[in-house]
Amino acid sequence: MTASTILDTVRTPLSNALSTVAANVYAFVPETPSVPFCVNVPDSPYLELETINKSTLHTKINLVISCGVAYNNNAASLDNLEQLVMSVLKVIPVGYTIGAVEKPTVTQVGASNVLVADIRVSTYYTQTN
Amino acid sequence: MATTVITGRDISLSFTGGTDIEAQATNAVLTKTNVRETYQTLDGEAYKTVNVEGTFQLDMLADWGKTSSVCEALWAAAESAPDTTISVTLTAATGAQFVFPILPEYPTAGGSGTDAQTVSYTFKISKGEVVETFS
Repeated sequence: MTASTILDTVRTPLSNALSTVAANVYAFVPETPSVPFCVNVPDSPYLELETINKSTLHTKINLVISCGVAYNNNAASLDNLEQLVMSVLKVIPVGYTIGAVEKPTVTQVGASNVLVADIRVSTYYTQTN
Repeated sequence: MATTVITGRDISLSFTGGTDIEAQATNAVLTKTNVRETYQTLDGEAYKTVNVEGTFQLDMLADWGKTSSVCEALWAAAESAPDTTISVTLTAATGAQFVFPILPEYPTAGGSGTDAQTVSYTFKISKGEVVETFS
């Protein structure tokens, strides 16, 4: 039996759950994300070992869902980002705790400015094999 | 001699009934206590242990709704047979095993909006009976 991976068990299912939002969704950080986008990014600390015993590896995984929209017009950009964040919050699957949504910041991606806000989420992962 | 460090990850824990407690437990502490009377005599203090008590502290992530749920099993046990013990086996580290009977308690249900639901128990160990195996 093939060993499970965080990509297959956590990040890709999370991305699939987000596929209904009006944005490009990535399970990992792409070289050049196209706006609007949602990207699953490891948070810090990334993995936390909270449960007893080590015969089976259970870890808490902290992720950030970075939501980004084009930053062309401040008012419209913030509205677009707020709508994107709300649509993401609605479809985060069960089994995830949702933390804070961080302050939007302007980030340069390639030649473009992007308005980005991070949603902090956590879940638990069990390693098999 | 080298310093030994053992952690919570060295603990193994099982209940009778087959629930997967290790996947949920974040903290497990067995406490056995001598109940000791102190007498003031003309020669000074004298002691007599009159009883032995024990408790088992367990903190866990709630698992309501899961197949073989620990919370549901303990709730059912507390409801149907509150005075019937459940055997617990706790291995602190290889070579130090403790087996003891606990009396079931109802788990709490619910939690805050931002955090995972958790449950904390303090189980009474029946008659303070802990069977230890040190090897």
